[in-house]
Amino acid sequence: MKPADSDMGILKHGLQYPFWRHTMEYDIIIIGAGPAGLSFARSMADSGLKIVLIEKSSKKVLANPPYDGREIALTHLSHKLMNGLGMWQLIPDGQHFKIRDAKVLNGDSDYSLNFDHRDTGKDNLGFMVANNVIRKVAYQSLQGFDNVTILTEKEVLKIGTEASHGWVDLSDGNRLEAKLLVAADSRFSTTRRMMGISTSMLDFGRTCIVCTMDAELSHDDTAVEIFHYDRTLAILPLSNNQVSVVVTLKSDNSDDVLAMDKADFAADIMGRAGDQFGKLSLTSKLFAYPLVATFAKSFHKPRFAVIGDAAVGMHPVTAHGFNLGLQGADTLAKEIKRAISLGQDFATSTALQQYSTIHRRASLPIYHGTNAVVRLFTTDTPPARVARDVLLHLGNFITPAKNLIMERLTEEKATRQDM
Amino acid sequence: MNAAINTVDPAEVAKFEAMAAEWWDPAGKFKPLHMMNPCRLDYITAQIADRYGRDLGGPLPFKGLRILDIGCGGGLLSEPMARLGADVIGADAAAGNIPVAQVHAKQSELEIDYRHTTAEALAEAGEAFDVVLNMEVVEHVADPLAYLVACRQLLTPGGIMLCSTINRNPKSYLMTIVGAEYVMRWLPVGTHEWDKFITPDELFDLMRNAGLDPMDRNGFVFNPLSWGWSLSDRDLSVNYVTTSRRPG
Ligand SMILES: Cc1cc2nc3c(=O)[nH]c(=O)nc-3n(C[C@H](O)[C@H](O)[C@H](O)COP(=O)(O)OP(=O)(O)OC[C@H]3O[C@@H](n4cnc5c(N)ncnc54)[C@H](O)[C@@H]3O)c2cc1C
Repeated sequence: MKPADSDMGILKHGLQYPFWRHTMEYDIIIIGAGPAGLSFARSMADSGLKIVLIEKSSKKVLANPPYDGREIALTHLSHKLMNGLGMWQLIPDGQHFKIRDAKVLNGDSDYSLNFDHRDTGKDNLGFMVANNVIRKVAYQSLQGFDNVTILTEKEVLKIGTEASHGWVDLSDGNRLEAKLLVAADSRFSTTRRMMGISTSMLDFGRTCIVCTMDAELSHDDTAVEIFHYDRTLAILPLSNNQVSVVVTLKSDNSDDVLAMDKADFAADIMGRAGDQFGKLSLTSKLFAYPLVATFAKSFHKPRFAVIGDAAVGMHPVTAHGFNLGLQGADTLAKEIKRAISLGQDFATSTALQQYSTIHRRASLPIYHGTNAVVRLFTTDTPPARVARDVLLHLGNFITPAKNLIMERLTEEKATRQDM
Repeated sequence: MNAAINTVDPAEVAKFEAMAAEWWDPAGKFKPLHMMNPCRLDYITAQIADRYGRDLGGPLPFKGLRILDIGCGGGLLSEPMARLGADVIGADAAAGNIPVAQVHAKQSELEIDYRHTTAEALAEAGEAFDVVLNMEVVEHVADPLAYLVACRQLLTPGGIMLCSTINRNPKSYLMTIVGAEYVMRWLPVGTHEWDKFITPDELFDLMRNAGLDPMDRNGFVFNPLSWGWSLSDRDLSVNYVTTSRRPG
């Protein structure tokens, strides 16, 4: 593009338009190099735009993120997107696993709602990859892109937008400017708040405790979710005899559980899991996450967009968080690239609005659906117990409802076709 | 160039800036136009790339092309064309639009030659363009044939004109006048006069009479489900766009 004339008559009148002739260093600033920020950067890397990621943690941590107990269940769409971004190929053999089937049980009742991969025409319902492995390969996938810079050990303290650009003030005292600012700084995003985007939050008053365990009997590549009246237990298949265990319980009980010794904890889980896994023994420490679901009231403003958990922070029970983050990053990247190919200013045109519309439509039903399920399955009253029992029984017969759930896991297309 | 902007006082400039911000707010007063713009640009860029053998994936695909945007308004089409590398003249018969478009082009760091003039005056001055954008104008002019003749004169031999307008039938009346003007209030009441709407066949006839070869036509269709516009080669019932070529 050609720079505009600089000899403007109006400047003689003493008016200041400093930004008019400003040359910006970056096209896009991404705040937060978590899985969502990194995936979005990778989705935009081939556009040639100048992109900078700003991250609190160190380069060392990004290159080798420590294990955090989260084992992420991924859909077929996520698998496909990660393949397209060159991320999946970087996962070492033996660090990605398949969920072939799934079943949901209500308390100690033997009756289960079964999800069989054979009903989907796929070999499996989904995949399992550890969160730190996802972060690691997402970071690695950006190597070799000279147009992408990652600034580490720097925090964004302030953020704002003007008619012509957006800016961030960093903890090192520097100010960076770009055409577009993208917040990927977690569900408790401070930049989202500073940009005046209100967010609905639902604090479940519960804590999620995660760990890995060794199982005596084969898990059969089957994910099991068991709803007891006071806690929920999910056992997810990893390698041959490893499982990921996710316990959701009232936060006032979590300290007691975290304080248990290994044997007591294992005995407690075995008591709740029934005998299908045989003896279970703890192979990692226990990691605790408070459960708060968030949904930003808006996903964009001029020159500003929120992605990942900063847009939609899901309750982990339905395993949608990063799947939605990846899908949203893909949608935003596509809309930006489309605007660029049409000669539009991607940071102020309808591109951000389109992203917002598409991604809200994709995530809002899942968000509310998940929260409703969580409420139903964590309410202790007899009617709720009966209701979920009926729901589970019906689920097996009402095939459309079940197929819908399975299709969501196995579909490879985003919910809305590309225009 | 930039004559208008150089002669106005700072208060005026501030006013133009505010008007530019209004023009360019995708959620503001011109929201319907912004919503339609990606779809219009899809068609325009594809036709230009096709005619001049340009690769839309490459940098500055329209470099070296001279493009006229008639009825440029705030520059919603002129700026994308300039950003894709074209030399752009934006013409508008409404004098008030010119400084507004100029102010915004400066903000976008683009060089666009905006002029308060008409197609007829430019043709008389002997200007020539590889592409003439004639989008949503023909339904507002007094003498469409004379206007299209001027457009033909403005084209280099072999150059193309992209012309969009509104079909004339009960549906288009409902959608554009009752719907957009009275119900949705997307457009000021009285923006359109239904009897000035032109059917695609009439437009093709007018073009032939003006010495242009009609080449292609497509509908712009609003999808209330996705709340967006898309192109259709079958449904030209309301908004549609055409490509025609000056022989030679
Ligand atoms: C127990 C558990 C199980 C889960 N299971 C699944 C699952 O099975 N499937 C699934 O899809 N999802 C799952 N999730 C969700 C998934 O982990 C999240 O959706 C995902 O990590 C969100 O990524 P993000 O990049 O948006 O945010 P985060 O991972 O929170 O990353 C935010 C980044 O921003 C940085 N940052 C924050 N503020 C600033 C600042 N001001 N300046 C600079 N840097 C900043 C942080 O350091 C961090 O690196 C689970 C989550 C939990 C807790």
